[in-house]
Amino acid sequence: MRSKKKTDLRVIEDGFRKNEAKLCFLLEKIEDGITLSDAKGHFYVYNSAMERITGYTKEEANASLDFLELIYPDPIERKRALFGIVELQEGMSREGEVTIVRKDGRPARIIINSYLTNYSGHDIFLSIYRDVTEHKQFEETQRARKFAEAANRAKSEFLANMSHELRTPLNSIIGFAEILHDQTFGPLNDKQKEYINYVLSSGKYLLSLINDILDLGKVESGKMELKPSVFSLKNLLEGSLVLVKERAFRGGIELSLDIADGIDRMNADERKVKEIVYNLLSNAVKFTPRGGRAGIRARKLDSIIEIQVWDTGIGIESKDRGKIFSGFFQLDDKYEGFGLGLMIAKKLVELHGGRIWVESGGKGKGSTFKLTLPANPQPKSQS
Amino acid sequence: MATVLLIEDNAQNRRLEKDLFEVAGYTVIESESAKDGIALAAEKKPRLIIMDVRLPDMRGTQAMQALRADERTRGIPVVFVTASAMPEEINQINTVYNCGYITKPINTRTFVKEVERYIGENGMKNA
Repeated sequence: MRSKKKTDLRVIEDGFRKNEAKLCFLLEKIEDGITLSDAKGHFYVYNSAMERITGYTKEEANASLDFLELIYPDPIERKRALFGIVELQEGMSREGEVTIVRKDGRPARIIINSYLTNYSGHDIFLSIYRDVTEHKQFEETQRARKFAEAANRAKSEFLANMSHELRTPLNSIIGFAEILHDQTFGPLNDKQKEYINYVLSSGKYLLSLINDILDLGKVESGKMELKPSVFSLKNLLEGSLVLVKERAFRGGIELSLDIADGIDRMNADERKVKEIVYNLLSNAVKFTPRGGRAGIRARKLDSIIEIQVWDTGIGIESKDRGKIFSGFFQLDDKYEGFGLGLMIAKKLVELHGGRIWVESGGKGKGSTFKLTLPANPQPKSQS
Repeated sequence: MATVLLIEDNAQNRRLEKDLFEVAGYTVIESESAKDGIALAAEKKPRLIIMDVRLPDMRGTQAMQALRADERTRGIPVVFVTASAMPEEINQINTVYNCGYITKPINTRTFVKEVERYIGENGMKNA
């Protein structure tokens, strides 16, 4: 029995060796793993792609008691891999997709094609192993990206609808309040004037919150685009101060503007720079107690414009300095708002390729928000 | 006196616009739906149409196409008053001839002046 088997093996191996010599070159060039093996799991052909795919050499594969156990340590996966193979009839083939475990322990996704042929009365399996791991990973990434895109679209649509639904009643609130305030249809007494002003300012405040949320949605979904133009920074900063002048006056806060010589024109998205400065400035006025001061300083450092918005207000403790830009963060409950202003400012600065940070001496010692913007746009690509 | 047609499904918003136009000396006709509004436009030939973008029966841009397809209403300027601030919709409106948009909430102090810009050289009240 023993010697008979040896003879058979030699016959088979000799036969293959003759052909193998001719096919060797071809086999080594192929990217798929190719094996010829008998029913006992002995490999006659085991090309270098197969070594690359499994991590095992032909010698290691043949020396192992059960190669299949080696590459399918999980019995269920092994069963799946072998399913249909034992029933294969001569001339038939079978394709299956399995996960093998490489010698280095990493999994690999493989499509295996197995054919059964007969050689000198022995069953010989020809197997082709195609490594589709990277392909699968690519598909996985694609799927994840498509999912993220769909989620983003859904969010944008939600924000657009929400904005629409909220603006429609606000149109009535603000519009009719304005008509009453302007006394278009008759005079109001002082108390009525005062109250309608409350309706009007609250309505406008609500509108600014809705706009903030909508803006944030646009930045986050990558829909916010820079529309750079050349404009006067001086005019912009002066204009921003005018917007908070009344509030500062009511709060007893002194405003100042300090622009270094040599900067006036800059190339950036004017509306967005205005929004950044306005957000910082309205915070400065909001968080500065009566009798305090707030203002803007601007200077040019090479190709960078640095804008500082400072105040003598409530200050920011060092533990809070990172958090204030992350949105929905409030230093003190007694101040209204969602804490979105700084988050939006940060996103808009970054969209321009600039930086924003805050310096403060601590609680009660005022804050200085500093930001840098390229004098010419270098938009940061959104990923 | 020149006539303005308001196509807007929200009754309060319609009232607000009506007040502003009447104070400025216009005659105002109204419709809650695009379908009725299109019919009214063909019948009364207003000098200007103010239309909401999201109407209950169709999109404002579809109504716009219907108005442009009819000889009787083809030349009437249309100003959309939209609560939507999404750039896609605004881009769509911008591609149409003789057509403008204003976003809600409207500024009651400048609203009539803003829409009058779309009426053309003669000005609505002189026509």
